[in-house]
Amino acid sequence: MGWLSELFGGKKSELDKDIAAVFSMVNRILDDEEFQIAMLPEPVQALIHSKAPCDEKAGATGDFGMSAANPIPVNGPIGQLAYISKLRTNSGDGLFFHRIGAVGAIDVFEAVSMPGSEWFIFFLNMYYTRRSRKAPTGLSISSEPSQFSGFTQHCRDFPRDFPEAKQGNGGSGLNFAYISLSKAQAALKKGTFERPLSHRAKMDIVRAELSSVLT
Amino acid sequence: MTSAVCYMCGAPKRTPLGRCDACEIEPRSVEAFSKSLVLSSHLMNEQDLADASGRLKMGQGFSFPPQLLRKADEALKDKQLTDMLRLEAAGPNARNTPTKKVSISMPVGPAKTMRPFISTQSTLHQSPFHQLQVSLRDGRKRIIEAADERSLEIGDDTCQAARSQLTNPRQRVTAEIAWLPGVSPSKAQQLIKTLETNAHRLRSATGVPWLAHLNLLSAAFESVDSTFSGEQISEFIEEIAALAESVDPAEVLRDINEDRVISGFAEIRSVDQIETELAERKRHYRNSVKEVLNRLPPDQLVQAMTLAVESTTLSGETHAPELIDDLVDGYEVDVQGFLSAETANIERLLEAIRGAASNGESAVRPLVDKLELVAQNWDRVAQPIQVSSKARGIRHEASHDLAYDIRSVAVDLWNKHGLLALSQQLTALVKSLFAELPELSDRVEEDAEALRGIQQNRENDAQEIANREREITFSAELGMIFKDVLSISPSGVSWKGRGYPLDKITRVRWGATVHRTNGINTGTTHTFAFGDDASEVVGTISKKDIFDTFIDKLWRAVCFRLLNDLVKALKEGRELSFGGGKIRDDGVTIIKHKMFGANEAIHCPWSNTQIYSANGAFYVQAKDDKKAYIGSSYIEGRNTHIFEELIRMAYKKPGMRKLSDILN
Repeated sequence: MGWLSELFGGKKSELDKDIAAVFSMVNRILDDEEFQIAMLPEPVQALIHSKAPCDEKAGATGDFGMSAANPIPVNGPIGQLAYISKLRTNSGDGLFFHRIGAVGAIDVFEAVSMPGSEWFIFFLNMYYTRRSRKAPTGLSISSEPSQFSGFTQHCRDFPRDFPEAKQGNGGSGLNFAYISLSKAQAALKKGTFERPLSHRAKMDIVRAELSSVLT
Repeated sequence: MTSAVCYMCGAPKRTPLGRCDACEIEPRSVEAFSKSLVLSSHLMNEQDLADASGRLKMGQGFSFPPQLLRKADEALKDKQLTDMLRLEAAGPNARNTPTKKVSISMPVGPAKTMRPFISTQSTLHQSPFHQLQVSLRDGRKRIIEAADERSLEIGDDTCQAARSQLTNPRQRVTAEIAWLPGVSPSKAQQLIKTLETNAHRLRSATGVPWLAHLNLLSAAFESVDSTFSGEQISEFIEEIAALAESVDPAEVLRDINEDRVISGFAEIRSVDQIETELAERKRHYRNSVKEVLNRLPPDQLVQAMTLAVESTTLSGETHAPELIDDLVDGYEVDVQGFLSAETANIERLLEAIRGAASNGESAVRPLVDKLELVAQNWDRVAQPIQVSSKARGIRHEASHDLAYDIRSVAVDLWNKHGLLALSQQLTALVKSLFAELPELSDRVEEDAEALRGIQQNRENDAQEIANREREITFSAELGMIFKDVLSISPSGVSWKGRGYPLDKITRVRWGATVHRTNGINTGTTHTFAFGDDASEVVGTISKKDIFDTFIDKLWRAVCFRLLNDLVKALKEGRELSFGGGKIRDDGVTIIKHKMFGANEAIHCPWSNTQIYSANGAFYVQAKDDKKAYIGSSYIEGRNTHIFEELIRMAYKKPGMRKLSDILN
């Protein structure tokens, strides 16, 4: 890049700087926990700073992340996006996800592996200063920053409406941190995305318990 | 939005696995959850759900399709789902394991609230203490006065009988044990009031001695009716059984004597008298509970008994309280007639299955499905007895016999008739219904394992056959106007309508001829031939890609077998003709070509030979004499390609002495 920049003069160099700045910004959105909190409104920041960081709530019962009694600590809504986007299945696949509501302060997300074969329901508590370094059983956390692959809103035709949801998410200012539409569409085209019976039964139970439901 | 119907009353439900608002039944066992899932739009369409709802509402019952129950059972193995449902056991008895509460988040709370109910005509109200409105501490004089005072209100005879019972030392102890020993007079009044206003509160009463608490709960239970759910009734029974188990005769003796000191009646000296009275009293509790249960609809009775036994024995793992055992014994007598009749039905079905087995799966399947339903119904009723027997370490003969009868038919279906799927279905049925029979479960597990193995082998075989078919099947139409068909498949090889079955083909040959005119390449003809010992079909085609594909398929379908046959024949010591010479396992007879004089046959061990291809032929030559060789044309010679492959394979074996070394 260096000799090319020199060859084509100062304008190219300026462009490089701009590109580098954008990449830096994207990286911070994806991975910088303090920056993710700083993007939030003041009152939310205050709430988040009231809790000490941890990987798992002390004394929590139930399987980590799979029960509202043992939610995954994360740093705000962007932390939620960052955390779930970094989760990988045993096959190394990332997840599509969306938020279906909340049980009190605990947010409930539905997720599906990108090939569409594994379905999950996660419980996250966003009022922590950093995201947990622990993954729910059967999943792992990618060591690399991962582009966002889901939403903190509800998707009516999850996950098939990912492209529409991403378009509708334009106002969040986060769209450039998301996986590309072509990548999402390729995965959506390949997968079957049929919820198994056990997952549908769980969704029934969860929906009946939600204190706030997203529609 | 998921539609759902209550598996008990048929009313619509908001969520399949949640509580029914109409009958207030909340699924608690795996069986209940399975049925609830089946009766939802997850597994049934709206019309079927409406039909099921109608049947349940009319009290006609509903036959849950076994295949849907199996799907539901499978779903209920999901760890997160079982956690949400508080399903703690996932073992063989999980199907009937009671659970606590459907909740995703909140800690397990107390049992669901029972609506207030009252009891004003209970056994406690018949107590002489209550009739005369006297306490355990009132003396003889007060009792006589009370009998006079109350005679106008409740009748002279009743008052005299009550007075007599309380003042006669022998009869008094019976009355004392049936009342509220150890409870102060004012608290006794208060507790009776509670019984009459909200009996449910008595279940959580504190500071009440065991026996008094037991008498209060037993009295409250007398008012239980069919508006209570099976779960509620079983919880009530469990509490009564636990209290009955906790009563300590020495404590009762102490409580009674403390009051007798005040009332002036002679103290009871021996605990034996208390024990005798308590034994009699326990019979009363049992009869009282049994009477209530017998007033319930059969389904509710079975459910309450099953849940009570499952819960108190931890699914047959520990001994139940004595009261539960007594109840089960009584229940067993009561359901004997039903079980015998259903056993006879099952035996008839088993006989019919045996009879129909020789007609194949389609004839047997309806009978097996029917058997599954009848056996499930049998097991549902027998479940409390089975679990209780397991907890007591005794064998439930009826279950044992029935399980072995069904297993025997399952074994026959496979061994005699090869009906694997049905045999597996029956084995799975035995496994799920008779999980409480420890000695059987191991054997059935072995059966199931063996059948799974057979099925796997079948699937593998089928897969191999399918793969092989795919590998060798090929067909091509050749010719511009009149189409000639070249085809190869498991049924044989054919060209222009003439063909041979694969296993009849004993010879093949093929090759290409390049045509040149004035040194210019004018095309290539591909020749192939295949046949048996008597005849062969010869064909030519120009398309190389079709020729190559055909030869590839021919190799897979025929040539590997021919190669194998060659090796076997050589190993058996036979000599095979090739290119004017003879090939044996340990060497080759080749021809020494002489310019003058007759050619000479010489024998070479394989170690003294070399091989090569030239001019469309394959040659075997003596290493030390270039004029000693035999060769066979690929396109004209019988099985030249096969011989070449065999010899080249053998050459790759270090130190090869015999061609059959390739088998090692």
